[in-house]
Amino acid sequence: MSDVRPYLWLIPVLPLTAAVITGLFGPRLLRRYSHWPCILAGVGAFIVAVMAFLAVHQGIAASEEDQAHQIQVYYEWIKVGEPGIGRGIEVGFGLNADALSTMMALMVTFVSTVIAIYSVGYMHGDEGYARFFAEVSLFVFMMTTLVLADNFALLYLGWEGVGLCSYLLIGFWFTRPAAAAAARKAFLVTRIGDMGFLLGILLLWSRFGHYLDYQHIFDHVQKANEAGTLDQGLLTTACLLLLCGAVGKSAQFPLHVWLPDAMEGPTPVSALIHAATMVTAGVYLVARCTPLFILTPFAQVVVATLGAISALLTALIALTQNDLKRVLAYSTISQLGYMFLALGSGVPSAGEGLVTFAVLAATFHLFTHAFFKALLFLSAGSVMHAMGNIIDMRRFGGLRKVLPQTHWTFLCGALALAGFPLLSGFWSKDEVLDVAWTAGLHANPYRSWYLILWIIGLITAGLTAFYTFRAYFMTFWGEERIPPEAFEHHHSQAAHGETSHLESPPVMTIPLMILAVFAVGVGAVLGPSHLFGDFVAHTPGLPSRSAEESLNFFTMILSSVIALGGIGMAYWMYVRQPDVPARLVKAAQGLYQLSLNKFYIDELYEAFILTPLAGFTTFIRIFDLYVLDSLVDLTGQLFRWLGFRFRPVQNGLVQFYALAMVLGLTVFLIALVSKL
Amino acid sequence: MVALPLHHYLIVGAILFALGLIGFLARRNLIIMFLCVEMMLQGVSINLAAFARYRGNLQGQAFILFIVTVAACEAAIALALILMLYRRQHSLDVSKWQELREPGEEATEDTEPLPPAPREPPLPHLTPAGVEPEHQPEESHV
Amino acid sequence: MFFCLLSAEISPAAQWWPIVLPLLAGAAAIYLLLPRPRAYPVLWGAALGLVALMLAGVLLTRSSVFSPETILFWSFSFLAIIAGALLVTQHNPARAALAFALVVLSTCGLFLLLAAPFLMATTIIVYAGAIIVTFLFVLMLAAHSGLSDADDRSREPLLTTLAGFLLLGTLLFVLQRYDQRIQESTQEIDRLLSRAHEAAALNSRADMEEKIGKPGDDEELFNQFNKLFHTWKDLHQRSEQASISWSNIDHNDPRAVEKSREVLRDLVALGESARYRLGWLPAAADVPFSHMSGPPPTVASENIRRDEQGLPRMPADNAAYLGRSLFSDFLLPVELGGLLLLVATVGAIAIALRRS
Repeated sequence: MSDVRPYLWLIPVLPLTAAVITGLFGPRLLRRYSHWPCILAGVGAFIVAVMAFLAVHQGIAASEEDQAHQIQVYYEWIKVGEPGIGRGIEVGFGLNADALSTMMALMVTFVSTVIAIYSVGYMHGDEGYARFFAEVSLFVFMMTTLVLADNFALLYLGWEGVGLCSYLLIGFWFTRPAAAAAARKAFLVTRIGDMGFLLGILLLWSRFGHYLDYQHIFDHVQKANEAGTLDQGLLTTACLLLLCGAVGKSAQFPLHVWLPDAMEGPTPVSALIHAATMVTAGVYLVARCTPLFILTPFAQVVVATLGAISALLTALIALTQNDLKRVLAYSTISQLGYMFLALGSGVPSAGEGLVTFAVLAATFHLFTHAFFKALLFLSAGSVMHAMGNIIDMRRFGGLRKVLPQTHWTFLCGALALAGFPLLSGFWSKDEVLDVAWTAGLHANPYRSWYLILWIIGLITAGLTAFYTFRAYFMTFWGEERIPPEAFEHHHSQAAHGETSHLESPPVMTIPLMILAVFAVGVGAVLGPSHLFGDFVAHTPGLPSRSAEESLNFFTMILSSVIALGGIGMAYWMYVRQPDVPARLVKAAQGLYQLSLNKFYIDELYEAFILTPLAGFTTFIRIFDLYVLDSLVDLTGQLFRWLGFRFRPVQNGLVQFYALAMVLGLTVFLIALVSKL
Repeated sequence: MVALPLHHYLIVGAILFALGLIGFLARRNLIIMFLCVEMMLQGVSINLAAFARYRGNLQGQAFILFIVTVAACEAAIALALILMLYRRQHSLDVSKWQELREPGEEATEDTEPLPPAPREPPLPHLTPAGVEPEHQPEESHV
Repeated sequence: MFFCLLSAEISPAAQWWPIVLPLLAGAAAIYLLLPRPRAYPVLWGAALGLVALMLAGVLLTRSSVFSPETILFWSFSFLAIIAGALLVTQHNPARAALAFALVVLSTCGLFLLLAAPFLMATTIIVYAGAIIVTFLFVLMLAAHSGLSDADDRSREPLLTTLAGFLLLGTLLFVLQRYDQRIQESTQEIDRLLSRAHEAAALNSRADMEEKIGKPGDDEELFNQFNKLFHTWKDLHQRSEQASISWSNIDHNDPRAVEKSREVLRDLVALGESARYRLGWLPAAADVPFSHMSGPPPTVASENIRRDEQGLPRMPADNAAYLGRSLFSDFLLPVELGGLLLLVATVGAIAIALRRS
């Protein structure tokens, strides 16, 4: 029990097996039973993850270092040169079970299993049913590899793997042009970040001791820092490059543009990849690299600033969006921004405890967010399923009687997201703000800046509550409106207007309820009890917490008031006085348009990056077509021409060939003799 | 007494080899080409015999025996093949067989006309000797 | 060793013309004599060919000894070469076959000179007796319609002549260089040997040392021998030993002169054996031939029994010894050769069979 090394590899390998089985046999043999390998593998991986978690937990409780941090290299992947003495590369398929990674593995396997079960209902009857589950299994394999990897190369493998699966799943309905374009956009935009990430890994490898595994790099940097030989500029560059990858993957400003478009994929995919797991990989990366980041205050403040900007910007955009899933997508970016804000605020100059506290806040928010955001997405998916794939909130309303179960689960998620007191979001968001507040209070070069970021965080908290409940009220309150597509979708067995059958089947609603319980309960149990913090704080590489930090009642009350204010405002505007929003729009037409059009960021990219790039590529294309290709053709033509000249040599006369042989032999002999 | 140096024999072998080579490349009669190949083998045999003599063992001579064996086999097969070829074309000219040339290329033809064949010497005329006997008129059939 | 001897610097063009001159004449002769529709006068070609032969005889071999053996060699080889040229240039295939018979016969004469009487008999029987007759049969069968006009033409006479004589020139050049190097080495050994003899004849140790040269100097006798022997490992080792024992001799030893003479005598013996080895292609020690095919490779060349010409002695009973060699060391090849003959017979019958 205490040693998880013999079976830790099962966590990634079970989903991989499921992916292979479903991919090979799904379309022909399994067909509508294609979900079984995926779900069984998910359950198995979850059980192993629980065992790993318990083992690590035991190790921490008994303070046995060896058990709390278990590493096993299962397979030697790449070995070049002499890695031992710093000349070469050694990459093993090594998995690493410590507090942070087992927590992530637990979350990933749990959420993915629940979502897979939900998908059985949601994807029912789809043509690519088997393909969907094969890709989801592959994604789980890649994601668990990512979080369990003990070195950057394997992490990068998982990193690109989840990117690939994301691409495949966003473009799942690839016959739709919008889906194909969104998939391409997501892939390309994240590639930009990945390029930086790769460069960062290589920089770390080449300049910090020729290692690729976390342990050695961190030790090396730590030693260099203590010896005073650390190249600060280089480390900052490396950290910013790593951050570049994290920003791309976690859809932070300025690379956030792909995530809203990614909602073209099936809703379970949005819930799994684009809310709960993959997009948090960036947060995980930065948390994992905390020992590097704390040595460069500049990189940290960049992390915090990008997070805060993303949080505020996307919250403002979310205010005016009418597409339910898009609102949730922007809120995802916003919440990820919170996590980055927390990670960036863990400045060591304010006491080593703050570093750990920051990581705890970020990962705790990650953890709770995974549950409630997955819940919200799945609920939105349920609404969409019922409404015949209509997701525009202006087309429906007052659904709380029509979809009672979905309504309740959505409400749970919305309350958690808005930070309603004593629910998940409340605790984790409060910790994030607390970190920023502490960083702003204590002496460090960017002190006042952190205070500004804290204020931004507070504003965003209010906005979050407002737009979440705007979506909730618009969907479930007001007069009952149901689009006609809803009835077409349901085979028109029942008469039009009959609404009781619109609710989703139990295979969808039961996962919703499970998630709802967790969304409400996880934070409420783990938040005040510090169980989570005590566990994750023992991640190797984090400084030990100096003292028990007390609950910061000031921030807590402030954020609760703001959250409640946001909810109340939304209630007033969309239930009590439904004509207020329209008047507001008229009053501030410019601001409204700015928000509705996402601050024109897509258009800016189009004008300043895409258009010049397209021009350049046109030039390259012409150059390639007419200059390079001509050169290549010329080579071919030259030999063609020569071949035609030499055609008469093949005249079919035996003696001519023999003569050629003799001449060749003579030339050879003469060359040999002249050497003598 | 001083023996002939080894390389005298080697030179003779080389000359025979080269002459055979020229004959193989230039002559167009299949049989002559074949004889030329045999002559090349003779040149090689002289070399081997000379080496055997100057090294004082019999290995070179054993090799020559094998050469003779192989030459006999070769002659048998080659003559059979030549016969087959002759039956097809009714000529021993090797240039009749050039079908394996590059498609579309013209066949290589002889352009230079042959000189007129030398006139056969006239058959000898024998002057009739003696006198024609007189023909008696026939009077009776009895 | 063959190539080591050749690897000395190539001497200037003066050494080329003994090869080039006869070759050019021979090439011109063959070119003129090759059959073509408008033939050149035969006489020119024949004259040029004879000139080439003479030049080759004089310039290439430079032999001035007249013994029965040399005279026989010259006549057989001239006959072989002339008959070969006739074979190449003859219009009539039947006459060409007869010219080939002449080539075979003169080759057999050379075989006799080379102590291979059994081969002579075999070659005459197989070639002149069997093969040529078969050829003539086929010729008669094929050429009953008179001369083919292909016999009056040649394919690319100039190019083929050039190619053939270029190849011949290359071969001759290699042989010439080889011969030259052997002669030079022989002279070098003779020079060194006479020096050693002179030194051994002296009566005091000091005079001997003066004659031999200062130790370490390139001109010193032992060093010269060492350099000469660098391709023969055993001789090299022994000459170095001699050098060491030479320098170990104590000046004050009353028997110094005798000891020195002994060392020099050893050195002379080494030089003599080296003379035998020149031009000798020693078999590698791991050649798997038994003593049935001649003296085994472990026997050093200087230990081989020699006849009065200095050549290794060949067994008088040629056929018996050849048989021993064939049926001991070459047993498997002989069997394979028999199989090959069988297959060839079957194949020839199968191919030549007239199908209805």
